[in-house]
Amino acid sequence: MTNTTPDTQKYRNQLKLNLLKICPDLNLFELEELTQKTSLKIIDKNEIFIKADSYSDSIYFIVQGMVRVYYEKEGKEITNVLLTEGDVIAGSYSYITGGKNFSNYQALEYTLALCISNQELEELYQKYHSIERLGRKIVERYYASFMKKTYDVLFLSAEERYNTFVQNNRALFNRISLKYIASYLGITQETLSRLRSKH
Amino acid sequence: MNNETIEIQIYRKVLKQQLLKISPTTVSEELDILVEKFSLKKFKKKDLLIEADTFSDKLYFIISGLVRIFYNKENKEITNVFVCENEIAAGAYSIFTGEKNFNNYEALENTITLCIEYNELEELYDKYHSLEHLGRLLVEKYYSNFMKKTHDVIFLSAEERYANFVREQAKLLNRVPLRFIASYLGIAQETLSRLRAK
Repeated sequence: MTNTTPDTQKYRNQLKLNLLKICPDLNLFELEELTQKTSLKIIDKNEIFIKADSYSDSIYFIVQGMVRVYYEKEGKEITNVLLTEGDVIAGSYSYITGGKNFSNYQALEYTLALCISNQELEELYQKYHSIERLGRKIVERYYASFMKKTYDVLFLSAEERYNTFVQNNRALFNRISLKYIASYLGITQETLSRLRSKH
Repeated sequence: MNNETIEIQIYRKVLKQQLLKISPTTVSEELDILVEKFSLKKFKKKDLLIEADTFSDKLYFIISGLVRIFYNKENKEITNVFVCENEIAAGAYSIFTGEKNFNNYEALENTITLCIEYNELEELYDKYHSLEHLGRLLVEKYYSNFMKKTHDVIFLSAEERYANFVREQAKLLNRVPLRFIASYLGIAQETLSRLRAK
């Protein structure tokens, strides 16, 4: 569902501030054009808005709410990534390669996102140098966080992963159901409860 | 011109061709400025290009030779990736975050590279839009490779991954010691021998 409410402009301003944090030397006129091209999308709680094994054609900037990224293996859902206000969602694998995505993207709360099509974004990249730089910075950021997540699973104990998560995501902790946090940390819900009572 | 100057000019041409494959619309003169910034760096077999737990802001384009990326866990070396001619090896995590790298990068053969610091690249990205475009495509390419690799480890069996390796990197089969291929596939060397016999 897409619509424009009086709030859209408010969210666009919020988006501008977020993008300036990622890329402080953005040209403000170019940034204005980018945000004006976005439309507000309302994603209901529990809605899966990008599906694994499908192609994605849009980029989402979350302005309110929360999204989990998960894949299914042997009938079990594994939560990979948790995203919230200020984060960017691209179904990156499909976006970059034109192949199908590996993961599902599900809203865990009533979520609002500003949305732009891949094609419109590509046009802006071509037109404006500073928007293309923003695109590179966003990819670098998510590439690094994906590497970090991958290596944390390899190198850190469950307890270390729990502590890191609490430190970095304090605000999220009470918003996410424990089963998703456990899945994200790669531990059982019982282990998570034990770690919580310890700290 | 001495021999090394001639040598490096030849390598820069190779680099230019490869970068044009990634972004065919790159402005030729701008690309010339970029490849001129690369310097020659040679490694002997077993040298480390980048060490785990250190900072690195360098990007290496492999002219000839072969590099293995691995990490140590519980005193075992786990091989992640092989990087060969015309590909790039860089401590991406350190470059993007300013923190230390997780992996070691080891030359499996005598290896010739062209090398640049990432901030030098970024200066040129800032200056020229067509190079910025190239830079975005480069990082997207390596990001999607990493996603694919992670996906394959999770979803594919050792047999499927071996079949992919043979299909996609056949030329490495006789260059990489079997123990590293086994480690890359996450299987015992005996299992690998069985798969090969099949």
